[in-house]
Amino acid sequence: MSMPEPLRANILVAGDSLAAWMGALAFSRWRPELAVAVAPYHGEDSPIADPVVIARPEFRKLMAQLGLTEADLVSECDGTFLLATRHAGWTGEAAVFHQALGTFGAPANGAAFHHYYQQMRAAGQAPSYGTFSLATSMALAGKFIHPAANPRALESAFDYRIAIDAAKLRDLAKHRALAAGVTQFSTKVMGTAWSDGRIRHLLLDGEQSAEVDFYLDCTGTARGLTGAAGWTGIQALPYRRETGSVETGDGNLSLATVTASPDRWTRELALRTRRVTETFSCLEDGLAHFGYLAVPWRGNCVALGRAACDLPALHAPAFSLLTRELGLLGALLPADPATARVEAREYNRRALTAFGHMRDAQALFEAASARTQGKPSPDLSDNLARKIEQFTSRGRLVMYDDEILSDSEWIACLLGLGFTPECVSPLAMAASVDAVCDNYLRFAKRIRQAVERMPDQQTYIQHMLAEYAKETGPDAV
Amino acid sequence: MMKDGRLKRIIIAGGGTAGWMTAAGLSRLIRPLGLDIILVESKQIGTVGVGEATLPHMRFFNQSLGLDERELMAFTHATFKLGIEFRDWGRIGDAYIHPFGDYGEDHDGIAFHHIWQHLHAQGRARRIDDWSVPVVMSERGRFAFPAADTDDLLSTYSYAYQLDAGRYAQFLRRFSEARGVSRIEGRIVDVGRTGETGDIAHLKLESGALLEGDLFIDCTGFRALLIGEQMGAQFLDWSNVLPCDRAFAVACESVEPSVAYTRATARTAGWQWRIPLQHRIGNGHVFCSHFMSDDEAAGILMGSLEGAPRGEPRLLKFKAGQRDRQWIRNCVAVGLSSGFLEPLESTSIYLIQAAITALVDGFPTGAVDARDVEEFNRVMDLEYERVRDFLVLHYHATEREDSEFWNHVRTMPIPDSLAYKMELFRERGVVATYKDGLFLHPSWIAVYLGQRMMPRRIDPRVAGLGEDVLARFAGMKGDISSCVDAQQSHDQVIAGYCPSPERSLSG
Repeated sequence: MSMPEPLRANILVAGDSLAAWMGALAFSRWRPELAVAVAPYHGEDSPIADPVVIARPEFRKLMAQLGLTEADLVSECDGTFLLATRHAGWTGEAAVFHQALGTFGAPANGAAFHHYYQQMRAAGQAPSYGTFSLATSMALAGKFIHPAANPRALESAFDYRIAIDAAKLRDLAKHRALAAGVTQFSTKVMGTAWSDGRIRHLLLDGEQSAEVDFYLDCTGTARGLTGAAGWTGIQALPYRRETGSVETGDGNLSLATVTASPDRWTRELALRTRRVTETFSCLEDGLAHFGYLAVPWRGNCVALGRAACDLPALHAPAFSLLTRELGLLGALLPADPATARVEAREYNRRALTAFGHMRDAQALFEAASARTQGKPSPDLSDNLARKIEQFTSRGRLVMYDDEILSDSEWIACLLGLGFTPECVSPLAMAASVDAVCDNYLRFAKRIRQAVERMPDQQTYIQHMLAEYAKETGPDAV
Repeated sequence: MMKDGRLKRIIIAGGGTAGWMTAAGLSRLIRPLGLDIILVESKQIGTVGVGEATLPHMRFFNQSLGLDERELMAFTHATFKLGIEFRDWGRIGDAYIHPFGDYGEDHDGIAFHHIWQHLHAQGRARRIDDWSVPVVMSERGRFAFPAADTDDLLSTYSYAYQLDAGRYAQFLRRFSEARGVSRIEGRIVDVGRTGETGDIAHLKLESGALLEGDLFIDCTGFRALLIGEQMGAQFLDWSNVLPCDRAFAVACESVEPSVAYTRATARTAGWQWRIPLQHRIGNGHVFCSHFMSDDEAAGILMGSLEGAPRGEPRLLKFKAGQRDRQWIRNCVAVGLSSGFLEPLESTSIYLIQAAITALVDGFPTGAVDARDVEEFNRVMDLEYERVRDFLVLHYHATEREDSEFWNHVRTMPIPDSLAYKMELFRERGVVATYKDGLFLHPSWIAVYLGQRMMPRRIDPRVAGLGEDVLARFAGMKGDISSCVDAQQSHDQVIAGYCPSPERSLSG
């Protein structure tokens, strides 16, 4: 009996995850002339690892390339505009701060606002740091508008993330990908035949095989194509995840909360029709599986999503990294994978940089928490150690190539977690403290007044969906 | 000297561009803290007068000081600068302009230069330069101030100045002294150190006077009197990748009309600059003494002047490289004392500015903090290395085989960091992205493409672009051309905005 002919395509995406269908959709849009196929993997963990994903502003560029709109995400994926995250309990029960995109305060005389804020604090005239952030103030009030285009307008001084129902986004991506001509194989991927650093073919269920030019490993933590070789574990506490969900159309859509205690932390955020709560608790005897692939693009195969990097869930890293990975892949897309050595090298350099930055953002919280609890600090990367050292010495924020968190987020987190500068910029010291307090308290008042004029997010979204329905009609998806 | 643990007095050793830029910056930004700033310089010691041609960043420095642009430009006989023209670098007969602005615009994540290359291959686009507003403006002798509206084609570029660096220093001296900087005339003959810490305690002048201070800024030029001779910072020699080590400089009379760009023409063993100011043209010939004699180099320079020379050519000797540490204890190097990179991309004043910015950022209000020193040195190392790579690119990415010099630089080993960038562009047309570093995407693209480094492969998504998209990009060239034709000439703008008195008298 002869073996059946291998299934053929140009690109084969292994997995049934959000990463898989986003990858398939991306390739179908980038290279419509190529045959793209998706095949499930036999040992894949739950295809939807995160109930909610959070898209950072970087996703908006990619979204346009994928033919998706914000209205799609809001309408079809239960999306909401997330303006700030309230963190509580990381360094003690009473410790609260807000992480938000956009500016906090405004620079003056060449010095960033947080230097002046330290002066206000020393003078006993500082309300919370978030008071000086439009995004935070809007979030606390449950308001939303899109940022103004005029850079001089106060209403331009913020940015936002989008909270999305991960399963619905996967379904939407799948729907759009299939509509764009992507083929879905029903047979599962059972194994991989590597040879000379390249995948020769995939073994499929029923003695079938698939032989294509380029493979995407989107099989999640199973890493079905790339395997465990090159997996670099990181020191991080293992977590057990419990997810709860309450159907409701009410409440504040603009604010997420993260509440930490010594052995767990809980995130709560609102989608359009329900509130989702996730609790991550430490496992004393669990196995840490977090880490990343040292070579996410190897030969003719690229690992995407959790197959490439799996980090603790704070900062919702999975979708941020998937966005970065797809953006990089688009920019370095090979015309011929056989000659893509240079592209792969650059991809790996930049992807690993992104993994490191995201890990650092989380390690910062772990370090602050450990410090408060008198526990030993986790190992910090040189980059993070320098960032903390420079900030605590005089409030200088060191930013590196390809960071994921914005500078305003880093500063808010560093200050909020108790990494207080020992002294401030001399540029800020030249101003009188009374004038500083006066100016910035007036600035905060302007923020409050601006927020009062804004609609709440529920209303804003209703208008948006009404416009969307007019444009697309009832059978849009 | 320090009172109550607070820093009280800053001594700037040396005037010139670096010294007075530092004095101006610190007097505007730091002096309000109640510090004394003293600059000591000697008329007996000449200054190199770096950087007649500048980069757009200089405008931000001037703005932070609150300088009036018209007044500054008139005083320094300045012209506008939209870029640098490179002649004969890829091959003899080639020319391109490295503009201070973008080429075209990206489309759905596809970089414009890939779209251009596709159009070029189809015979629908000749030079990428035609998609750059500042290039077309430069070539047609036009100038307009950039627009703030990002939808406007005139928002796609920036500008710098071509100015008399000596007069810029004078201007800043006036500015600084008005803000309380004390200038002391005197020659430094000795440096006193404190035994306990090794800090510099005072400078001894020829007059016998002792100048005590808390922080010492070394602006003594190539001599590096403080950072090198006293503090022991080693010079990292980069002449293996930047072998030019001498330059003749001479000014000549102006020729009309003036142009808003600097020119760098490759010669047999180096290159020649041409910087048009309002009242004269600055010229210089940078060369490698291993491949060319002084006499020959001077002859090439003097034989190619466009106007009558204003004096005899002056010889400068230098070595490319940087100090291994630019801040040690209470001594900070700014300008040529910190390192030297030839002025091929007009980076001298920029590197002074970068050092001042980093110094202000980490300025000690009390005892020097080792963490500030470490960060300053890290940032300046990055600045120097990334400028170095960009300069080396000009030499290495050549097809010239007409002299020993060009054969040498074309085949010499280059830093790994640059080799990586070049391979990435040559193979796939991708410009390596870095957050820190002076030169952005368009600068690298200008040199790569201007020196015939066409990528072997481009973004495959370009092949899928519809005819409507391609036609729009092809048509953008005409939009730019029309936009530029509507602008005033560079000379007209200068005459109306910032005429120098000398120009008015002669013209």
